[in-house]
Amino acid sequence: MKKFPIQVKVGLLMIFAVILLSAACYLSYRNLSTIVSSIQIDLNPEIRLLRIRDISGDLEKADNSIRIYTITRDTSDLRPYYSIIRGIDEKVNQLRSECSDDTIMLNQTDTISTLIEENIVNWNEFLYIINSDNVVGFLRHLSDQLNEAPENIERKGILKRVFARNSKNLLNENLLNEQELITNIREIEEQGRINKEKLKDRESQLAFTGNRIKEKFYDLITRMENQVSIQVRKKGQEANRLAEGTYRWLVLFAISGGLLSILVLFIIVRYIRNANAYQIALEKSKNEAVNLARTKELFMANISHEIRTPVTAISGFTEQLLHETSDENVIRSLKIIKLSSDHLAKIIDDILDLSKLQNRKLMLEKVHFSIEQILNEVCSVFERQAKQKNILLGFSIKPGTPPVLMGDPYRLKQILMNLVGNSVKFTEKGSVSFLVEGITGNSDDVDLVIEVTDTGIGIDEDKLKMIFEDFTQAEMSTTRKYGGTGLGLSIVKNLVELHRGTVVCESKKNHGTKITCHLPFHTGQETQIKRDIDLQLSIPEEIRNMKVLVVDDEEYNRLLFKKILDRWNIKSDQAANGMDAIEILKEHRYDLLFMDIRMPGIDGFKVTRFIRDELKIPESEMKVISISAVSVNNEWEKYRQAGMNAFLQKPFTEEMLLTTILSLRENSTKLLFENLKDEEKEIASENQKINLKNLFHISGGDEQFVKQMLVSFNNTTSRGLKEMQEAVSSGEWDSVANLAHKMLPPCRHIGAMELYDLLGKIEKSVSKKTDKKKIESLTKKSLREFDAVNELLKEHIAKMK
Amino acid sequence: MKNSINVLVVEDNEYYNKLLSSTLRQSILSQRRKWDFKYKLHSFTDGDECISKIKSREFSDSDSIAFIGYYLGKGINGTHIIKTLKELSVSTTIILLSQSKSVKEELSPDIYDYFVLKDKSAPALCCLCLEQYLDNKFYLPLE
Repeated sequence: MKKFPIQVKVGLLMIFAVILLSAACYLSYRNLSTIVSSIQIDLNPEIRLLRIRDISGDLEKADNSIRIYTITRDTSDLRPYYSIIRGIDEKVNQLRSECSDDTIMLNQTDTISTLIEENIVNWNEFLYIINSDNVVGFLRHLSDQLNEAPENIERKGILKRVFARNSKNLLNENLLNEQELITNIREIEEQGRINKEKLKDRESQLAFTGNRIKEKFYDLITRMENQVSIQVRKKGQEANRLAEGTYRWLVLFAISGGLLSILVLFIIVRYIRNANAYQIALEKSKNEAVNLARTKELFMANISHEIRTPVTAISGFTEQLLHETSDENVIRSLKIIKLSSDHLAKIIDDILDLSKLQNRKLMLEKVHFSIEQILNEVCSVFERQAKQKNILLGFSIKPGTPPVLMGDPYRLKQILMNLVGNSVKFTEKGSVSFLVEGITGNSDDVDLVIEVTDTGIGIDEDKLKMIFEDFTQAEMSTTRKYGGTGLGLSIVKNLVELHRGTVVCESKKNHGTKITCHLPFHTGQETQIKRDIDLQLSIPEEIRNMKVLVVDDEEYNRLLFKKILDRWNIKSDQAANGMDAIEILKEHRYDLLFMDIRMPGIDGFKVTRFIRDELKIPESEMKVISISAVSVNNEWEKYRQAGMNAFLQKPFTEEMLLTTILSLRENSTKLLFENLKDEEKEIASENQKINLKNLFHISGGDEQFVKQMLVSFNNTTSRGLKEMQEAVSSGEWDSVANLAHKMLPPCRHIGAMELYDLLGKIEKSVSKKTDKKKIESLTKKSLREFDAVNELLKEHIAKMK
Repeated sequence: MKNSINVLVVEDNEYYNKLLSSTLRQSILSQRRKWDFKYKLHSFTDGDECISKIKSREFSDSDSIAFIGYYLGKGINGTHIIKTLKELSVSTTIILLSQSKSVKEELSPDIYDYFVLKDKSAPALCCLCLEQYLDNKFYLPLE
């Protein structure tokens, strides 16, 4: 399942929470509205009840109106009655329409309507009866008229006279005789009685209908009230149900919201915890990477030092052998060995360079050099190998190419060595050729095109890109068959990129390969090319007047310096460590300081910086030449910042020493070179345990110097071996390794190679944590070897007395 | 602890003690830009007090660098402090300070790691020793 990022998860959950909240709000609002509206309906007065009350009130008013009229006989008192009668039909119809949804109520309303009509009829009858009941009045008038008794009253029917509607007519009628009068009076009394009966009857009917109407009203009202109460109860139940439903939804939403919040919180907390863990892991990885890089730097620095030492010995002794033999074949072979050992030393540099290239710490030099010389040197390295494999090896320089260029010849040679070396290695038959063309551009720009072509095994097209990667060859089987580290093309690529050039590879399997590089250079000057000439030097006068301080922890080196400088008539003092040098410089001034970089105690960088910053000795007053077995490797800026002015790599020749000193002097006189006279002394060694040729060469024939050096060697090596033996006994292995290491250079210098080998083995054994017994055995052998060497040295010393 | 150091200053002259302590503290702060480490600076004008602190193992938790004056008064000199440190196997780099060159000539160089003459450049030299000590401790490759 694809993992969603934290933002998507939290976003989705938040959206869901919002939807949940909105739904909860909507439901609550809807249910609440329903409840409120039902309450509002309930609050509205029941119209039908009002209507019923109104009609009931009207009927009572009508009844009262008639009763009042009955007493007052005032027709104005009947106005309410008539008004009510006119409007009651409409009210009853309205009630009927309002009860139309309920059949029972409708029937009851109809019944009420019928009863009301009946009531109205009764009331009208009642009124009629009341209005027609005039007996008392007639009797009164009759009495009055009897008193007046006119004779000629026209006799009319008494009933007509009694019930005549127009009472005014009765007053104008003639009086009857007494008998008729008594009869009439009796008839009138009878009629009055009948009217009373009728009134009584009407009244009872009215009362009956009135009661019935009231009953019906009560029934109706009761039914309506029941209905209303049922409706209210229903609505109450409905509201209760809605409320309960709303509560349930709200609880559900609240729980869901709570769970969502917890989930969001959980996700966020987990994310923060993971982020913190990643950060801690990242910091830890970063620290580990920094430590690893630091360890790698230290490893590189130490390894380069350890490997260079034997390589230097190979180069040095090969050079000595070159001087000792006159056999051309041997000389040719030795030259190749010399070139190869130099090349090997360069390979060590390659490994360091690749490391520095990848860390962007390597810088290109700008010196003048001959392109043809570089090509010749490259060709000569691989000539023999090519001849052995029966392949043609050659180069050509296209006409028009500037003969001298300005740039970094070492790096250019490194590129060519790697490319040509690869071609020779991977070609079994045919040829390897490299063509160089310099295309001049604006001003002194030169685009140097290098083409290295071979008829070798070729490379598959799909593997062309990976060949420039570290430790990579086209196929695994290639490594097994042809060997190699797989670094060459990687270095080429990095160096080409450092030059801001380009490199392209074209190849066809089993047909061959062509690699083309474009490198930018500038045109150079012939006269600026430095030449290695083994000449006896003449020391300019200004150099002789210098005062020099040599700071080196190795006594042998200090003596060597002293000897050379004394021979040059240059005054010198020495210090074995940086602190002593500082103390000396507090009280004395010098023109030149040789500062060893790697010393126990304070290192050369710090001492030099202290001298410049604290002792305030400026460069104009004293120059500092740093000396070290390790090359500068384009970290010259670091040396400059420490206050150093030049660098001299150990081991150095006198020429190198002089050249370095001269390079510091302004307006220095030119070197005067003389041809070297072949007056070297040859010292025969009985069993090759020592070789003092180098020492004699440096001494320039000064036997006293040689004697002094031999005595110094004896003292320091004897003491060193004794201390080493004690350290082996007490198991102080670090001390054993350090002591053995310190004794190596003097042994090498006097040619005590067997002792040198033994001490080298002791140092390696300690680093590899070899068995104690083996180290003890080697130590004993070293002591025996030293005894033998010491005997020889004593003989030589004795000869020199 | 690997990234923690004790810096001891044992000097009976109060003025010189303060001068050294202050200079070293500034140097430490500057070095902390290069290396990530913790430190504790302990100053003593009384040699006895320093010895009792050493014996109570107060400085045994980390490596130490000690700047010790030779003459400390009350019959105590710097070698007594150094001896106590070595007896209790406290891993310490020793810088011995004195106004007299003869102290250096008389003493065996095995007793101390650096000897600093008490002149105007002594505080700067002490800072130099401290810088070298830190570089060695944190494996700075020279070349």
